[in-house]
Amino acid sequence: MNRRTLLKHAIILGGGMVFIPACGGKEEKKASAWKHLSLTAGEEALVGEMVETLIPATDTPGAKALEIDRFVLMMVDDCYPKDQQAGFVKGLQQSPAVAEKLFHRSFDKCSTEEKIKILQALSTHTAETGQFYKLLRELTREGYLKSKFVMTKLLPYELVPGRYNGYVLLKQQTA
Amino acid sequence: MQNTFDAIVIGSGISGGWAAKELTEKGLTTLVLERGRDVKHLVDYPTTSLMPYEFEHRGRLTQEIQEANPIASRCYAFREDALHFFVKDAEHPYIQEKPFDWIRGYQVGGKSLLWARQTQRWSDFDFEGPVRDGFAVDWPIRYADLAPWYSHVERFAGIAGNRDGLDSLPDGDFLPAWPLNIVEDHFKNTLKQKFNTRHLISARAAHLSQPQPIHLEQGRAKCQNRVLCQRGCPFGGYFSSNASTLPWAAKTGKLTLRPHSVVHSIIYDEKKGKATGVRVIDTQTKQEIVYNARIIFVNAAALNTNLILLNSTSGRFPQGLGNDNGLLGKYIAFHNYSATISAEYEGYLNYTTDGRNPAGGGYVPRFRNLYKQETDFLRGYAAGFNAHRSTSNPRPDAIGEDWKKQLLNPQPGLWRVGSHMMGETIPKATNFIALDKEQKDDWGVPLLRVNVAYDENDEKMRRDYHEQFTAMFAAAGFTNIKTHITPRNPGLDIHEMGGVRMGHDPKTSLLNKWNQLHACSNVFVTDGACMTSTATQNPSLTYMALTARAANHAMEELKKGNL
Ligand SMILES: Cc1cc2nc3c(=O)[nH]c(=O)nc-3n(C[C@H](O)[C@H](O)[C@H](O)COP(=O)(O)OP(=O)(O)OC[C@H]3O[C@@H](n4cnc5c(N)ncnc54)[C@H](O)[C@@H]3O)c2cc1C
Ligand code: SF4
Repeated sequence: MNRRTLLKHAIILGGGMVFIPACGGKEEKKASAWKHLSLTAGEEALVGEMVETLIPATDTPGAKALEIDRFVLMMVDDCYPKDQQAGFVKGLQQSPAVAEKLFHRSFDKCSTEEKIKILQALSTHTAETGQFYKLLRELTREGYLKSKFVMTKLLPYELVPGRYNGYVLLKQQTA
Repeated sequence: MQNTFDAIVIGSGISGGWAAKELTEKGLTTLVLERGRDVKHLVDYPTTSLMPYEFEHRGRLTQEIQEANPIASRCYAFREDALHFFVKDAEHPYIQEKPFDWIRGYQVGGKSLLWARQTQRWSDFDFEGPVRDGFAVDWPIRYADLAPWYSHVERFAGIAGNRDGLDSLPDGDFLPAWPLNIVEDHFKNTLKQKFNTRHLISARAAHLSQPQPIHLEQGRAKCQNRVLCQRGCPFGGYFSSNASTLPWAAKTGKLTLRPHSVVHSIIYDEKKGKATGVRVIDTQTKQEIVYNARIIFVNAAALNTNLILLNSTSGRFPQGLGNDNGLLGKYIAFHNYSATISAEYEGYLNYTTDGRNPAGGGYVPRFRNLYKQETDFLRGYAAGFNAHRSTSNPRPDAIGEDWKKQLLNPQPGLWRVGSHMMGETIPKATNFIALDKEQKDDWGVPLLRVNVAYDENDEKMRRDYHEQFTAMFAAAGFTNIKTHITPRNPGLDIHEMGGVRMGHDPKTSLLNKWNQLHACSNVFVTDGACMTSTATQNPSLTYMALTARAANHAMEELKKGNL
């Protein structure tokens, strides 16, 4: 199996596990075959909940449907040094406690407003949750804006612009 | 394959491609030897039409690749879409006595696939630099010697630019320039009004802004502003050996291109008093093969050209071919790219840009110490300059629907402006390369030892660049001006030059004014190795012009029976 099909399988698997309670204990078995990250299915599902909170489904798909959670984890797994990976995982693992502390519920049981408050609280809860949230947000943004859906349907990317105009008058003054 | 040709060209990159084109057009059977694999125009550009989301890591490098390639990773173009055109660190080791980032492309086309296509002519302020300022040796040529060859090269390659009428940067045979944007023009006007000897021009670049019949005949078409050139261009919109000179040479029927062929050394025949051929190792079979020719062009890119000559020893030349004076490998120089400056501009907020500019923006030709020495450092710097409208992110803490809306409705922010310096460095005997006495590569070629460093002149120049550009930025009303030292090793400018310098005198130089080795006249060196000094211009256009000129001379000499 090459890496791509492996990823596809992992995505199907991950999708099926959203319903597993996100507060996940360590006894849960690993969800996907990452090269460096060792995460439980519950932890992965939590990432899914979080990216969907960051970019929810509206009249267009949200981050979960676009598999941005898989993208975030793949990028952390492939493109970051060990210490940043470790910080990310620790921060992720410390996150359920924030939900419990603020709302006495697991993240997935919280309302949208509560989830937003939890994410905001991650920035300052511990150094690790701060590091985790920063990277999660950055990669969610990158994954979303560089997803096929956004780049073809919402903000079409032009491979071949065929022009350069250095004096484009805007309709109204901005900034 | 027959083993005897009229001419051998070592290397198929920017300069080797030109040698191949000129020599085959003159009717010489020409063997081009290339150590890397073949890269056919269009066919071998695997990433050229991929959308950003088709790259697994959206263009980024994996940690594994970065850790395995600390040197190559420092080059801005070493990214997911073009990795395959770069030499990986482990593949071809060299020894850094001082840190030196040697960025290489070993394949048919060499670095011509990867280059940023910036092309400026030299002027006599550059050719007369060494003699006026008392360093290196006098160039044996002047601008007038090279001017017709610049034209020759520009017309064929296709260079977009304006005729700016500057004595520091002679005009060429240009296609229409890419336009500057409104803020770049604002900076240009500021310089005109407040700094009378300083200019901003539209960067001159090897793009077909308006193809001429000669370009269509090469099978190339108008540049479509993709600005994904490092992947190889499906339109042939920018100049590369692969799109331009090599297919042209092939059409003559005189070209034999042999990839997977490392040139080990040049063979010198003492009785004949000249070089008779080259020794090649086939990288696939590891077989050694000898090819013979009447003339040899060495175009392996500056350091590898030095290496081949140093490794070409014989009874007559125990220290390397043509190296009677012991200067081969010395006086290496490069470009000082160690500083940038950035700022914002709050004007013209009702304007933005649309599409992409293949030339990248503007260029400030050298103004320091131009007409006379005026600072406490020698020579000066050119600079890139560009402006772009940023995207504002007014609510950095937004989450959810709010954030989604913002991401999908990017609002223009302030203009961001930036510049990077391109300084001349002074060639010195203490900046040199040599062969290792013991360690060899897979083909039995000694490893290169590199001993090249910045000096105090470079630091002073960097300070001056920061001071002058801060003043120029301030005069333009730019705000939040920030100077940056970009701690980079020599080499990362990818403009390494020298080691086989040109000069009048065989005692102090290796090459004559026609790029022939003084001591072995049928060997021509026309890549960066021949450069007596570096000036501030991006160098490749000058290598191309020198190559075409030398090829023409070689043909004349062959006709006269002198070679
Ligand atoms: C990212 C990037 C941006 C750049 N931007 C610019 C720019 O804007 N303007 C500019 O002027 N220059 C630029 N350059 C530099 C430019 O690419 C080089 O100056 C130019 O390619 C040098 O031409 P060359 O023929 O000497 O060498 P190359 O193009 O490197 O070709 C040399 C060839 O020789 C082959 N070779 C080496 N050793 C041997 C051997 N022993 N036997 C057989 N073959 C051998 C190599 O494999 C290679 O194919 C840039 C380079 C890079 C990488
Ligand atoms: S900018 Fe021009 S030359 Fe570069 S890839 Fe695009 S079309 Fe080709």
